[in-house]
Amino acid sequence: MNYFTLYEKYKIPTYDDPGQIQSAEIVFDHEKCHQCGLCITACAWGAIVTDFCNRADLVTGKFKGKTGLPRVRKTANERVKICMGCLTCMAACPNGVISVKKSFRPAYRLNKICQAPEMTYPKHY
Amino acid sequence: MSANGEVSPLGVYREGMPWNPVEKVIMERRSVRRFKKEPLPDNLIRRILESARFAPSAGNGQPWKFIVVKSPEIIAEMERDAARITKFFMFFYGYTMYKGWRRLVSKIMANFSVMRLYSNEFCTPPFFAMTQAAEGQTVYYHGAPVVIIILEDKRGVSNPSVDVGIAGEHIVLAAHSLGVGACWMGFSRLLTYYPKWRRKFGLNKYPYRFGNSICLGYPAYKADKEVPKEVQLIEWYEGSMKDSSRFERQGE
Repeated sequence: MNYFTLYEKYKIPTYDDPGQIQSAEIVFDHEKCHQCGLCITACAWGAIVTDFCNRADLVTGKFKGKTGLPRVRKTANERVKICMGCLTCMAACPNGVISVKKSFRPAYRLNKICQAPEMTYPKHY
Repeated sequence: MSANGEVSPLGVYREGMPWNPVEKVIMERRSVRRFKKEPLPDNLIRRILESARFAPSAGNGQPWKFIVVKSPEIIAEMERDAARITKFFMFFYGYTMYKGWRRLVSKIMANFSVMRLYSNEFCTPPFFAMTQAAEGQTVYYHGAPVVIIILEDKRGVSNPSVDVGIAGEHIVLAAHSLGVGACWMGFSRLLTYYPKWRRKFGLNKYPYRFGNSICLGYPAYKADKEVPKEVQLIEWYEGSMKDSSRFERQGE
């Protein structure tokens, strides 16, 4: 088990530095995508956007029709993807477009201690 | 004992058996973030609240108060005010939204004040969600027809926050099992910064303080599926007092 050093305990990670925030990495298979916008709606942070609309447009009903191909938004310095890997988008997608590569892991005092980086489906023990 | 002589009404455990209905509800429940406009029938809301009434609590203290908001007008105003206060905070502290000197000033302000003092409220997930809301990328209440606010009784036995969490999870699971979508909405805490909302719902009036809130409504899309989650490292003690524990990778 990794415990915190004093430095880590008090160090606040820089939220837009990829060395200190490993954002989750989800991959869209754009060939299968029907552009229905369900992943955009389901995203807890509104982090999935397209060139034409964002989550606020879809939930308030301002935007209708084909949404365009989804991507994950980044912070203003373009270095960190805004994604925590809750995978609600993956559950919402009817076509199995989304897959996950990496889980969300902040560093220093926000480090996840008892969670391994690998992600698995619920297991029937 | 149920009619067939088994201890549980859903049968007994066999290794590798498929999920029973309760497990299925737990495993396949996902937060629903878009609801149909259609309001929920009052008796359905009462039925969902009934499972919260029978939630376990320390010392049977029941340290909670439930507030049902089903007025679209009030929910729209909650949404507006939550967005407004988010914009106010993130103007000063939302450094990931900015570049250059503004980011620098904002980062120093954030790191030396809110992130240190309110580390739970400004942890990464709420922080990113709030920057997104401040930029108009997302909305808080997902157009839900019903919001249930749970207040926590400070005088509660032991740790009342845990009891509030248990009652809330009963609501969420019962809702899912009845075909109603639910989503925890901790951002209602933002409303406690408005005297107007504090007065209206008694959010911080003794002995209560804000606990959490839950959006309910008929889901506008189907999101019930299992998803992968991180493997957990679980500590097992099996031998004698002298033996050390071992860590097992749960879920692999």
